Amino acid sequence: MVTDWLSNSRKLGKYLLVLALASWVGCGDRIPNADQAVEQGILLKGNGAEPRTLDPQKATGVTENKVISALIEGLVTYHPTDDNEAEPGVAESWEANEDSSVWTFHLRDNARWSNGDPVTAHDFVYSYQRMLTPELAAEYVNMLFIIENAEAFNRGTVSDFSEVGVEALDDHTLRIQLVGPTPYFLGILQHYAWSPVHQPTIEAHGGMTDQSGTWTLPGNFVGNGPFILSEWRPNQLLRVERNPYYWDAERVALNGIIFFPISDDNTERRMFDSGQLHVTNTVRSNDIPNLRRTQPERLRMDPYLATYYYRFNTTRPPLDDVRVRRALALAVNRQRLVERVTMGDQSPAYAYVPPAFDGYENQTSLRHDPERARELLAEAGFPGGEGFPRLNLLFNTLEDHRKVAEAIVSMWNEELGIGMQLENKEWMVYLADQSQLNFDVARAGWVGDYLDPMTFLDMFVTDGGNNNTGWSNAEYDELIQRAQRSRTQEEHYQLLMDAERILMDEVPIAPLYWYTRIYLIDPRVKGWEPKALDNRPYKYVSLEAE
Amino acid sequence: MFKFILYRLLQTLLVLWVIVTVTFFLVRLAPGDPFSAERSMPSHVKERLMQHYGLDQPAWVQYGNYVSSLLQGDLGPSYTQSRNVNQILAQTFPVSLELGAWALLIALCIGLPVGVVAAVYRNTRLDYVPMSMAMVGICLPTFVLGPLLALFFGVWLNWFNVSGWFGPHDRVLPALTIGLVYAAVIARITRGGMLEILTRDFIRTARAKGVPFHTIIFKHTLRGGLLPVVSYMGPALAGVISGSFVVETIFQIPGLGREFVSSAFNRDYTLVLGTVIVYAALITLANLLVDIVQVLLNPRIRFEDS
Repeated sequence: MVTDWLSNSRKLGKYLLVLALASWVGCGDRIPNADQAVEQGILLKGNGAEPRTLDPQKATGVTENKVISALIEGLVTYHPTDDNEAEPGVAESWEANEDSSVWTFHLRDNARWSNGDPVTAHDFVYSYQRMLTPELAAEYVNMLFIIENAEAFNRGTVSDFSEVGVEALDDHTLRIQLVGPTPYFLGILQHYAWSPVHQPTIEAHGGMTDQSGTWTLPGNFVGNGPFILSEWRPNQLLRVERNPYYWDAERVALNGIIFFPISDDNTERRMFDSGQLHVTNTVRSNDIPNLRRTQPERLRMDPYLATYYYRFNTTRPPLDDVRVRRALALAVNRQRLVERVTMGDQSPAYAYVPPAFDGYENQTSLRHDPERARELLAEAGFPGGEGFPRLNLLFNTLEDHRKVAEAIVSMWNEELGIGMQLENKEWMVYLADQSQLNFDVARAGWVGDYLDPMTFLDMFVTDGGNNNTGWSNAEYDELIQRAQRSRTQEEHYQLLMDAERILMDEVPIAPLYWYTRIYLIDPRVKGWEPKALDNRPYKYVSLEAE
Repeated sequence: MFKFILYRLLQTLLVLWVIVTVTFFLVRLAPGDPFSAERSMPSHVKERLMQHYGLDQPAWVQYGNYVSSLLQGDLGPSYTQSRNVNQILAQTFPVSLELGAWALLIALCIGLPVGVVAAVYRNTRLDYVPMSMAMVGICLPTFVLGPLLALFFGVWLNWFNVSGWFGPHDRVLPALTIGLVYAAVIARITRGGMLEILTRDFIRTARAKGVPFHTIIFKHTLRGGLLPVVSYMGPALAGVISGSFVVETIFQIPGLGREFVSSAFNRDYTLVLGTVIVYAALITLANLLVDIVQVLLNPRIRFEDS
């Protein structure tokens, strides 16, 4: 009996060996290591989480965009070095009318889809129609609401798309009529929500409003970017190859990119150390001091258009008192926080908008001033922290957030004599608590969607979907509204600066630091410049053996 | 015997139905929904999405719809992926199964001989040394052992890739990570089972009759001594496959364990249900299999109907 059983397990072993060999043979191309990949011109990139979709009009995340921007090119695209410049994409030139409310784009006539079809102005009209069609339920649809009548069409009050302000004047001329003057339109236009999609492909795979996303699978996907999708193995890799039909194919230096979705930062680090990756997505904060010593030439810490801050629930006492909120914000030593706790070259933030815009200067009354903080707290009725209720500090469960929270709470305790309870919750519970204002103080982070201070400031208007503080200020609302319709960039910035001053005076939020993008990179990767949104045109990236 | 199996299969179906029902309502009780995000979308867009997936209807209507499509073999769309749940399970379950099979194979190949030797030479070095190591093995969690193996054999020696699931060599480290832990358990169980039999009268009688040593061990002792190991194999198989989440994450393996955990975090209701169904079916079937093998190995147990 036992011997029967043993021989059966031997058979099982043989079967498994065959299975393993079959799956190995079925893999097709082997995955090159970093050295082989340099010779083959293939970039190996760690890409964080598994992309949920490659449909630019359904995508919502940074990881998705890293892949999509290799596959699809919009009217304008990312500049290789200068964040304040727009790089021509499908449009070779453009002009705006006097008050920047009507924009005309001239499309290059050699732009092609990856199946050889020409990219025309009609493709963009179709794409924006798809994005705005209510049934598609595109999460980022409000990016397009600056188009005349776009919001009405999406909400169903206008049913004829020809009333929406997008028109193909001919095959190569596209006119976009906006709801009002928008001098910063080119910054918004770089967002992937404005990507073109290939109509025949969409129609062949379920139609305009199909939710399944089958058109984005390898073999189906048709894009117009420098690369085409060749392989997508979920939770393993996503491979793109050079697109011969791309209008600027000669400039594209890489033969391909392999994106590895890696959910564990330690695994990513081991992959980099053993030569399986050229660029990592991130670095664990604990590793930074050691990496600074041992591999400074590989460690990069680029300024990032993102702010780490704490929200105050302004509907609950004692945080409904601006003096209390101000006292909490003034008592934090942000310099010490970034030097001793986060350690990744982050900048201490005394204002909300990250310093990335030429001509925009942060307006703030915040600083590190424990003396004044104590005075304010005493004025509010809590001298030396006496009688201050025990509040909760909410954050999503993650070691780095806990470290920051512990540091801040100990600063508050030291300077103001108040105690606070740390409360970590799972991501979805944390989100629900924030949106229902079920917290006292909550950790938050915000990454800009596009390159304009507006992407940070418009969220705090009254009842804004991302406000989540209960704060409301009529003057602030009005300044934001006027800034959205200002005629010149200077006026636009001035209004936003005024708005930021109010935000920092009223402190519904306490900014803590401005993020950096921290990653490891193989020195053989060239043309990988620091970018505020970590978006770079892959066509300028190359690999050079040393 | 067939009556027994049929009866147990019916029981399994009932258990599955209870699990599906409980899970269905439990995941909906968790805060948030599949479309919660840090950057909130316009409310009318969210309503559209909920409507499209039928999530705006009362829970019992959703339940009815789910069960009726489940009976047709359709596990529904995933809310967070471009693949539907059937496709996800079809792609990820074989990976976890293969990983689990390799791991169990390693566990048996190491655990059984070590356990037998330790039992036969009990209270000598051949017993103490491997059993101490087994104790360490049991105490060492996979999330410690896995990175250690990856660091040693991957980063330093460069014998294997530190992650991935592409070629046969990629099976070695993850299977070893799980396999070593289970090998330790199996070694201890084998030793215990063997010792119990070795002290029985019939073994003494066999010895006295001059039956050769290897016959005593392999023919008389092993058969009874392995019974505890066999009953352990059911839970072990289920544990290896459903508990592979950690190892799948450490080694970047596209298996079912990661889908199970991430779907719960993402509130991907249909995918949670799909993975739960697979695991529940697996565990009940593994236990059924163990019961059958127990009867075949142990002459003192009979099926109720035979």
